[in-house]
Amino acid sequence: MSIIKIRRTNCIVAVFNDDEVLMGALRKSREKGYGIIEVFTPFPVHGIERVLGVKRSNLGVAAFAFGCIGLLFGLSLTGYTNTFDWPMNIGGKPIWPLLSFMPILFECTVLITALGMVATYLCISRLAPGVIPVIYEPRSTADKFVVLLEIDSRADEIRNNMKAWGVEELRDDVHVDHNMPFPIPFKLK
Amino acid sequence: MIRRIEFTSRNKTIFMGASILGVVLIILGLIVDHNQPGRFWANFLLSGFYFTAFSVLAVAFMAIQYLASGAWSSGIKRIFEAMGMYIPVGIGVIVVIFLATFIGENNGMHAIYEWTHADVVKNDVVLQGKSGYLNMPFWLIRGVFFLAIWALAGRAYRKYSLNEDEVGGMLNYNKSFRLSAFFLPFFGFTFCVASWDWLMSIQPHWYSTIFGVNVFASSLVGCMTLTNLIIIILKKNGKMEWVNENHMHDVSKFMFGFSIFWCYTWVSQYLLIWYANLPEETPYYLMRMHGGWKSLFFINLSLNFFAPFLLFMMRDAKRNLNWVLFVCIVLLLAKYIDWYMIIMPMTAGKDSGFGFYEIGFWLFFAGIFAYIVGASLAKANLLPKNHPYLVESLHHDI
Repeated sequence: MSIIKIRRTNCIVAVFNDDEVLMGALRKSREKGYGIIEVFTPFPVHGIERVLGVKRSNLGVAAFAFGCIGLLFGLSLTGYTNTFDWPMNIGGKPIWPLLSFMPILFECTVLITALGMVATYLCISRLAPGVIPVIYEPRSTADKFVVLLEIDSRADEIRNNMKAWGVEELRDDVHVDHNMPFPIPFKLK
Repeated sequence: MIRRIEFTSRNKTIFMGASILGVVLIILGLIVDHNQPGRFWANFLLSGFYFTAFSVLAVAFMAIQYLASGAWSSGIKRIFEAMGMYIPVGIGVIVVIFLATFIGENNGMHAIYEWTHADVVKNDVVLQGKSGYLNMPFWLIRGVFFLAIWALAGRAYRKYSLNEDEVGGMLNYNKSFRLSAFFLPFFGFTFCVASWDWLMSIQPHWYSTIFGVNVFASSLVGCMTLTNLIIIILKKNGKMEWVNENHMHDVSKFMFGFSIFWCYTWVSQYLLIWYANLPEETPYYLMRMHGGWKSLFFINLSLNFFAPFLLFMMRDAKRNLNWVLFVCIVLLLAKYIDWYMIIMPMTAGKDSGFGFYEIGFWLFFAGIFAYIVGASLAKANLLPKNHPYLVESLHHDI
């Protein structure tokens, strides 16, 4: 699978040791208007979405859509097989007994929703098959908190401020390669 | 952090006034709808069981939280403890129904349970076969025993929790944890048996194996509804500022989820009976789906399932104080209708309706419930002091 490089941004990798320090630095960076491309944490940090200004995902809308598709799938499956293609009279019940199809409709809805949500989640989390994950700092999977900061004309100011706000390590030899086969659906700014 | 609420004389007047108003309405009902013992005692059982079941579930929910090491609920656990204090009133309900049987042929258990009439049992082979289990002394012994154990467990949790406020440490938490491990299996079994005794045996020929689970789901929804209601009332009065929309969201999720679970068990029961079409099972639904009961049958399903499902589906709906208050009121009504549909058709029958008896008995028990919960909440700090998960609950964020 060929990988298209869409965006190439110069940035620095800031490594933090503590989540409270990280949150403080992020808060101040947002105030100053620095471009934060991505944050990697070893565990979910509560309230970080609010600090970064990430909007709540619309995963629920996707779930509802997949649920509707699943319900329609169940309706057409039961309706076609048991009512139109080969009508069956079971115990004198109606020819399209919605009530006895309810388990099937329910399970179809749940199945399609679950599978669809997994697919949606993999897509928007950039975990599609064939993607080689870019690891900016291997220790972000162990005990370090890693921030990718976009370098613009204020590079020196960003470096100095980061040091003042408690960064443990700064590396500026990295650029971001978004090697996704399709455009990235969202951007952190 | 010591935060107490005051149980003022104004509160006392309101709650006692509600109970007294209830008694007045019942007396009015006795005058207006006289000679309806079936309806009278059915309402006594309905409203008595309504609040008792919710308080029992409060104790069970606390046990679940201990056993699952649930942290988010520790900031509101005093509400569950206070609700658990109501359970002894349930013993009163059972004992009064039993004792009223001796007043006359049409009172107490005779008015509610068909199997207590000796002449009916004599001509009924099925009831004779069940008489080893369905007889009056055993019914009373079971009911009082179950309620006593539940009440004692509620009191034990309360005692450990209050002791924890004073001494701190893990000792009382571990005791509560161990108690939960014994209490939950006991509760799961006995609550099902109690629901057979008090509700299902009203129609002794009919039985459904999932009935207990259905009543359990109803009760848990009711318990969470009352919890949310108490939180909202306290918050509107400027108390409990550490409880925010995150806690309310979690309580509302239980209301939402178990409303769906209620429908799941309801459909499981209905679907099999409808499909199998067996003569001893279908009369239960035939009676409720035809004639005057038909509209209430569908109102029951819409209010208990479709209303919370649609009103609570959005995330923001579960976090908005006034919206949650609205859904709470809908669900309190829905749970009343749910058990009304179970109890009334066989007991009150043609006499049933919605009048002085229904409102009176509900108000009477609601007043007692509010009084006991209010007094218990005021007796202790509203915020448990040394609970090991307290800090996590205060920083709850979802």
